[in-house]
Amino acid sequence: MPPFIRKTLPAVVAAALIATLAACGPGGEPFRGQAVDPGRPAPTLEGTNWTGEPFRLEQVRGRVAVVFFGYTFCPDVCPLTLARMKQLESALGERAEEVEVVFVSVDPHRDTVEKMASYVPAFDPGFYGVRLTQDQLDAAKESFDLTVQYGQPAGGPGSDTFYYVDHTGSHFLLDRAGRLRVVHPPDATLEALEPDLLRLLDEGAADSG
Amino acid sequence: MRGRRIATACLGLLIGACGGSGPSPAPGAGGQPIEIRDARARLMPGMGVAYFTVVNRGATADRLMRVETPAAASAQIHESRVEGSTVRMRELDAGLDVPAGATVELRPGGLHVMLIDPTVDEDETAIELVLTFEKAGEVRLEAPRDAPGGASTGTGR
Repeated sequence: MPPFIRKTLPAVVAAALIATLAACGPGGEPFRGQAVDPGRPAPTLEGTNWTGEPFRLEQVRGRVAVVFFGYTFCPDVCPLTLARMKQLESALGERAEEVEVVFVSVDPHRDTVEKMASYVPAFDPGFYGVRLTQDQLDAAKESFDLTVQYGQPAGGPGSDTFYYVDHTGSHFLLDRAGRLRVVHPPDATLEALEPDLLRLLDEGAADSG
Repeated sequence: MRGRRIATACLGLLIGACGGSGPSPAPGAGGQPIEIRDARARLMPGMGVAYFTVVNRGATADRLMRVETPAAASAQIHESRVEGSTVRMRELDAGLDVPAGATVELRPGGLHVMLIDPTVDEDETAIELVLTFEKAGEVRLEAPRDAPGGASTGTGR
C-alpha cells in the first residue's frame, strides 16, 4: 500500500463513519421513515377539535405526535389509518400516553365539527379530530406541504352528491418540541412506525427543546 | 357431537347459497362458479364500506358489474391507490374483472365497495348485498357488520 494511502485511509474511513453516524442521528439506528432536517421550523396547525374546543398544534408539545390528513367521507384508507393508529397505541402500551394522534380533515365543506364528532371518537376518544376552515386548511397545506384535490361530485358540478378528495396521506411524526422529524408514507406498517415513535419518545423532552 | 355436525352441514348450505355456485345456478349463469367469501361491512354516518373476496372457479373470465344494497342510497365499486405520498380513490366505472381461476380480494387500502348514505338500522348486525356479474348473474349475500376500527375492516386481515 503506498504511504499516502496508508496515511489517508484511516481518515477517510473515519470521515465516512462520522457521516454515517450523523445521518443516523444520536440514536444510532436510522429512522425507518424519511428523516426531516430537525432545523426546519415547526409546522403550524390551527382548527377545532371534534369536542368543539379550539385546537393548536402547540398544545401537544411535550409529547410525540402523529399527524395525518384525511376526510370522513373516505370510507377505506382513512379508517384504515385510524385503526392502525389504535393498534400502534396498543403496541406502545403505557408509552402511548406520551403520544398524540391528530387526524385533520382536508374537507371543510362536508366535515363539520359534528361530523368529526361522529367519526373520530368511534376509533378512540383520545384521538384529536381537527376540523379546519378553508383559511386554516390553506395554512396547513403550506405548513405541511400538502396536496389536496377535490373530484367532481357524482351528480355534476355544484351538486351536493358524493365527491372524492385525493390527498396527502403521509404520517407526519413530530418530536416533543413540535418539530417535524420523520415522514412515513400512507401505507406505512406498524413495524416501520413503532421504532421511529419509540426513538422520538426516547429523545426525552430535555434534549429536543 | 351430532348437533355440531348438523350445524356444520347447515353452515355449508348457507355458504353455498351465498356463493351463487350452490345447487341451482343463478339465472343466465350457465353454472358460472363464482364464490364470495369473507364478506363484511362497516357503516358510519354518511358512508360505509363493504369488503369480500371473489373466487372464480370457472374457465371463463367474469366481471362484477355492480353492487346494490337496500342498506344504502347507493353502492359503488372503488379502488384506493397510494401514489407516492398521495391517497387517491376512483370508481371502477367498467366494473371489476375476475379472470378465470382468479381470486380477487376486496380489502382495506385497495378495492372496496363504498356505501353512500347508509340507511340501515343500528340494530341490524348484517347488511344484504346483491352482486351482479356479467356472466354469473346475481349473487346475494349477507355481510356482517364490523365496528368502526374493527379488525376485519380496519387492518385488512
